Amino acid sequence: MLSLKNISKYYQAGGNKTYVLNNVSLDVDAGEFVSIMGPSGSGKSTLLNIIGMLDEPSEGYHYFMKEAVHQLKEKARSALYKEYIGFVFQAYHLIDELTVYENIETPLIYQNIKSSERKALVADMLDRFQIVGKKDLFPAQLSGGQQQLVGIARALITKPRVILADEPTGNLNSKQGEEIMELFRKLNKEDKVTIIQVTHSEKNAEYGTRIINVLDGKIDSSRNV
Amino acid sequence: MTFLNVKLAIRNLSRNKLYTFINISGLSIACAFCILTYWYVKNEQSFDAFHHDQNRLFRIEQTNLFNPEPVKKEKSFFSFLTKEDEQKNLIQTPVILAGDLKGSFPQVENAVRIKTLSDIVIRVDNESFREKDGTAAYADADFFKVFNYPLLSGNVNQVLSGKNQIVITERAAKKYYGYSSPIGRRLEFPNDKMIFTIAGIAKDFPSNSSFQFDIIIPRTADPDYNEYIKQGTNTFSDLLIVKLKHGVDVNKFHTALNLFGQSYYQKLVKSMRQDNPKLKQQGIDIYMRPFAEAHYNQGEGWGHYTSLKNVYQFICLSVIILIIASLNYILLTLTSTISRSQDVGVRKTIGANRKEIILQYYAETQILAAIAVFAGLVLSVTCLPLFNNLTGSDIHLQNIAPDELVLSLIGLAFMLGIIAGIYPAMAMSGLKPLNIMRGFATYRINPVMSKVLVIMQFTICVVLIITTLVIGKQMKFVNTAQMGFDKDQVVLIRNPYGWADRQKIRSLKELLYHYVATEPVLQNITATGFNFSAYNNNGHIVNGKQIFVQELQVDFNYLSFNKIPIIKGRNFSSATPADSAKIKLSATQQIPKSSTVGRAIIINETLYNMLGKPKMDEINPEMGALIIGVCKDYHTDDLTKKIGPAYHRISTYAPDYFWIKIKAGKNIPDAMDKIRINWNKLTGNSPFTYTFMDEDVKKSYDVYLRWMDTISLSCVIAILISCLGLFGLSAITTINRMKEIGIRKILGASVTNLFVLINRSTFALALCAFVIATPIALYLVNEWLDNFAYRIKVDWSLFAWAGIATTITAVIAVSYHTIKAAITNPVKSLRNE
Repeated sequence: MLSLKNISKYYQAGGNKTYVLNNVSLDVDAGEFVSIMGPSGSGKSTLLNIIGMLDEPSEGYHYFMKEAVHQLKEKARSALYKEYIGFVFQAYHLIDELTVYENIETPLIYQNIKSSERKALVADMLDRFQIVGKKDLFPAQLSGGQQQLVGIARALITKPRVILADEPTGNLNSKQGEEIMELFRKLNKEDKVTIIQVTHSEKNAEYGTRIINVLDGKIDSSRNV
Repeated sequence: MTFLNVKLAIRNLSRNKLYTFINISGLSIACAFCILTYWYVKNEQSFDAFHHDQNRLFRIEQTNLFNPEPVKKEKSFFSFLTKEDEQKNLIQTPVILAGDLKGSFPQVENAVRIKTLSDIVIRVDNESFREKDGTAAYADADFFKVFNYPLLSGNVNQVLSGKNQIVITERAAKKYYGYSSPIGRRLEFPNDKMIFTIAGIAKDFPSNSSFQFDIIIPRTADPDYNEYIKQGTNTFSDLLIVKLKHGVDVNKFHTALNLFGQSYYQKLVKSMRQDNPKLKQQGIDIYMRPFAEAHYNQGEGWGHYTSLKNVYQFICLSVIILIIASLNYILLTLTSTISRSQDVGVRKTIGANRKEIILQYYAETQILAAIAVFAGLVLSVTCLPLFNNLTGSDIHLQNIAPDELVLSLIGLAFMLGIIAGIYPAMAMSGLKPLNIMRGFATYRINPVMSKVLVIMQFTICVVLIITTLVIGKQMKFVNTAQMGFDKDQVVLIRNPYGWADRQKIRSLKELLYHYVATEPVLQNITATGFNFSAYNNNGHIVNGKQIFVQELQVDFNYLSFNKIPIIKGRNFSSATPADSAKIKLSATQQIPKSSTVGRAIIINETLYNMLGKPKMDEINPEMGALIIGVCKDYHTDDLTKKIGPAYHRISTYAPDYFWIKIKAGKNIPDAMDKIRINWNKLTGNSPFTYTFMDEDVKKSYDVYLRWMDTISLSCVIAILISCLGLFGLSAITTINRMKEIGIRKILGASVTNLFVLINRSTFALALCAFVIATPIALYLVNEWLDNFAYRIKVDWSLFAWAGIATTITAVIAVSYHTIKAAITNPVKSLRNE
């Protein structure tokens, strides 16, 4: 499904290059649930951003759904990620001015989906996440776990093939974290959504089907669970 | 999508109440200014545009060969735009021209002559009224047919047909008779010995009419009418409006008219050239100016003059203020990107493209702009009386078509939305989604850009402040300047009788002189044939060059009354009969083509020097007069004009003005009451028209004072808006630097340190703006000061004050937030991270 070949990301600092990612290669197949682990500053978030096409590598080849991403122009790249990828953030990044309902609905508006269809899709999603009662609340009125739930619902509404999650449970307590992880596992198993998450927690990483350890900009180890 | 944008924009605006308030108040003040300017322009444009067939009405003008002095052009930036309009043609025509045009050109459907009256005194029953010059006019019988001034009673075809039938307006009817339809009643012009019957009542002329007559008299009723006819083309007295027939080619007709003019005035030009060989013009051209556009021209004797320069200046000021307010908005929007960058980033990752984000932000600005325009409308309606006062215009909202108003407001809203909205929308939408992945790190869009914007704002403010200070100082200078004569406590009373009643005036003068001598609150009296900046000019040839010399007709005690010192020779004396007697001049005692005075005169220093310091008590051939003394120079005009050559002679005509000096320290209203009671006794209730000399002097600066008020007001508005902007800006920058402030505080920075740290850039920007503004302001104020012959020097202290004022206001504006941030407990600001 996606493939990184000899990807490097560095910053020019004086005469030296400071490598954030150094010659990383990685393949992810459809249906996998990959957990990326590593200490702070090891480059795992940068890796995830490159996979999500939000950041560009300095060198290397990047294929996604058989497209050569490194050759695409920015417009085509964003079209690509808009179609296939859903993002979940540690800080939820809900839009404060929108209600729960509107937050979930927004991606559909950007895809020019008709109002009646949008209603049905959002209603389904609210149902599925059991947040129908909260649909008119604003993000500030929700707990962290609930906000993340909305964040995931919003990521899923466009039926993406891949979900990229950057420490999705980092701001949550352990119980809320567990619920989110269960949800991810269910999505992966039942809906066949490919999931790539970055996490600090050993326990959360275990939910995945593969665990990749990143250290100093390199893939240190990769093991199947 | 659009609906959602609107909903979102409203939510956003109500969330950030402070910024919304700052933005709306700034923009709405600017809008109000724009709307008022728009009304002002519309009102000026609407002048004389309400007549039927006004595209067929033209004012007839001729080349001006008679204007003795070359017109001193007022200097301004817009001179290049107003060239045509400052051209002063002669707009008075010979009485016979109207008939001759009608006879010679079948294209002319009608021609109406109008001659306004001056020195108007009206008597109704036993009451008499003095009316302003120009409130009554002689006009041809078709006046009400050609012009659209509706009659309330009377028949259009008949009201002016009889020689002693007149039409008055409703306003005049109420004033003279107390009710609105005094048809058939008598109205008298005692000084001209004319008696009329009211034959019709006209609706009051609208405020946007150049003609503001209250009394319209048949042209032929003028006692001098036959004399004018006899004079033929030698006299220019009447305004002439022609109405062309349908379908006449104006350009062709104009050419024909010019040709006609060359032969028509041939005799006159020939004799003028004989009199004055220096005259360059070969003939007199006839021009036609569309009637509705005539008010844009400075022709002397026309009822209303729209100074296009003023119009342009107003438009300029309102655009500047609009720009300042838009800059505010742009600045605030750009700087408040902390929460916004997240918003844009999220939207982009969930599928928004750039266009959609631009639309969303633009919608927000557009809604804000619409609210501001509405608030501005309310504000401008409230401020309309103030504005009328300021501009000296008379704007009525009912004169402005509502559909046009709504359309222009919508236009303004969109213009504002685009000026203020496009740039922030573009800049915000350009944010990369990755920015949000870095968490809450503060992110500022292009700080260079916002610095440029702040400098622009500051620069405009500094320029306005310097201009205001300089104008204020100059106006103070002219108001406190020594005029060279004692202008305080002097009241000028207008002679109430007509020219012909010389005997009556002389006996009134005797009686008044006697009265002043016996009245303890009054000090002195004199009489003159002129008033402040209203005197005769006579052409004399001095050293082979023609110059114009002021002729000041005075009474014996004039110079001592005004405390004007004699520096050579002697003063007039009533004991010396020769001082007022006519002198017979021999051929050697006069210069050909030069005027001769033929009397004893006292000249001023300027003339004394021009004549090459002639000996006293000798006949001077250039003046054709006996010079008996020289007085010190004093101002007979306001300070925009240089003191010119002038001479005084004893008045042999009846005086036009009585000058009475009230003793120092006496109560002026009481003294005026005493004078009035006595006046009524002496004159049998003739009009008591008076002005105070010091007020006359002040009034001559009205145009400049008005301009000063306008500039000061714009200055205050600009500063107010800029301060609002700075206030908001400082709020955002301090929030942006909360963490830095917290860390510095933990490291031991004091509140003062922090205050300086945060505001250092504000000072730097203010300084930068000051440097840019100084030369611009210097240029502008020097241009303006060139209007005055006597002017202040622009010194550096003014600039220093402007700089200090700008900096202080800026510091006050930024202080609130920076001090608040500086004293906040650092733990609080760091915990948020």
